[in-house]
Amino acid sequence: MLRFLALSICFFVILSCSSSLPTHQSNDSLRNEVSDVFSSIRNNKVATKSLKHHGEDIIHYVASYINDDDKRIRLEAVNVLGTVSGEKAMAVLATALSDPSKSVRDQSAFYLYQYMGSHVVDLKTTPIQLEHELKKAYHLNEINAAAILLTAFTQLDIDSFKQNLQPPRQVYLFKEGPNVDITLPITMLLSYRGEHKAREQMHQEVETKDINKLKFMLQAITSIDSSTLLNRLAFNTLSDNRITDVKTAEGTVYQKRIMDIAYEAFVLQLGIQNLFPLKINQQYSRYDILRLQKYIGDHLPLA
Amino acid sequence: MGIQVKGISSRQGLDSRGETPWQMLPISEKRQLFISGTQGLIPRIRDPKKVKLTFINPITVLEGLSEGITYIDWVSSPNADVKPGFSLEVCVKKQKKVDVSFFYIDDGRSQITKRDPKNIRALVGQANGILETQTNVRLNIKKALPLKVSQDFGTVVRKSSQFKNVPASEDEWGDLIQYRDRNADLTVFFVVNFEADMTPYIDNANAATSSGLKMCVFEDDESLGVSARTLAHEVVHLLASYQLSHTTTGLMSSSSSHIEQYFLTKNEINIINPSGLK
Repeated sequence: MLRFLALSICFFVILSCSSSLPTHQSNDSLRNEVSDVFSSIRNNKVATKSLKHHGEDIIHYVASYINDDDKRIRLEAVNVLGTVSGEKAMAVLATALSDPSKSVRDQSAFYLYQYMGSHVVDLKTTPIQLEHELKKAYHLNEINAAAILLTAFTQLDIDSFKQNLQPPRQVYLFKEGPNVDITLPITMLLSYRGEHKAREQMHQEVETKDINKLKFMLQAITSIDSSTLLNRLAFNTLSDNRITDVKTAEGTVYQKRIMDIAYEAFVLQLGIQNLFPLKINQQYSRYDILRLQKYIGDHLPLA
Repeated sequence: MGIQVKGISSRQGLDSRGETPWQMLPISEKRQLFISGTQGLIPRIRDPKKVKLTFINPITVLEGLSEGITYIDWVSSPNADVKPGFSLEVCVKKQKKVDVSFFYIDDGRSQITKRDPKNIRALVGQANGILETQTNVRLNIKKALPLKVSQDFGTVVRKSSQFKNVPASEDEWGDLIQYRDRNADLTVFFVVNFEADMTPYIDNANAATSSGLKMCVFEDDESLGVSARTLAHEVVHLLASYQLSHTTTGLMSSSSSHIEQYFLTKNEINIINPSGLK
């Protein structure tokens, strides 16, 4: 959970930094230079200048073109950011993973994947390699995890995955987390990518009573995107008063109710700490839990 | 005993999967059953004030008289203490009405729904054919009106406020909340495309419902029959809230491969219309 907290904070910091970058060149001249390059592309002209030499200074100005209506503009923005590289550029680039254009999505995934210094894996990968890739994905954050899968498993669906990885394999993806069958994190990530069968399977997974699976899903909650899945996971775990061991990153073990783990995971995931203050290492009252259930019922509709 | 119970219709609220088959029966309405293998047995109603039983060979006709649960036992002799060879549980339910307002979104750009208010009776009629017949929950059309909005809703209406890294402006679900009909039990907004996940350009959801907000956003791209099933599915979400999950088969399955499935279980029916349980 501490790692999850740290990652969430890091990701926020990265996003915040990307909007307040230091500048070496005057703001107006840099903005104009970026505008000229993108105008050339918009007017079907070849851009005469390269923006890549500006380094991180350019990110703030290029970021707005990531959401442009013109696919060519968005693709160029991705290419500029991908070449600039660095965490700040990657944070902006990650938003292009859900671009309407496949070429823009793939190109942003390529840069993200390249940035992570990984090698491309395919269906012939060994379970150990796959486990290594998954660990890396989960330890970075969910967007990078999606990037790994977009690039590395473009043809992968849940059925072919199951056929290719037999027998089932138990994995520890978090140092402090439970071990689960590798199928669960793969299903979560494929569902995150929008794969229909994986999404359907996740509808069953969130109804599980298996404590390890529930703990894993709460720990990797940023990999669950569907409003329905989050709603169901919330109601199943927020009413679960079973007590389980929780291990910190430092290796200390203490006991906690599933509902308390769920409370903290959902409050952090939804960014609602101002409405639902966290009481780390304390039990949440029935009133606290009911309030959060009502909030989730209102804000996470069922499809 | 080899006794089998089948309904005349597959959508009449019969759940014969359990040890004791179960039939939902609306007050003042009838349900027809084929009950085979009861030769030599006599039917006996435990509470005749609740159900009336008639036979039009080979059909058994049940009529709901008053709210509540009773059993029809098939026994080998009319003696009061004889153990039944076969029983049917019957739950007589009052009708539950759900007033629904339908708004047809027009943002003047990409989100101009293709649906027409003129067709709303057909849609609701078919949804009632799935829902009312199984649960005695009836949808009523309160309003069916076009709704012009000034915001640009983009190509996909999204429910994305659950993601910290998606701009708030992407969450058109949030924009629609203000347009709800607060006097309705449910407001349905018809839009062109809707998604509630991180992949808005991959079509997963047909619609989504918040029971707390009493609102549903419902996309265009389906036939009348599929839309009616989706509407019935969403109304179950409205009435059951978190008490029911998605299933692998039946009306509450989320799979498009089960799009022809309409079946609701005894548990699902009792949750969305608890009439008769006490």
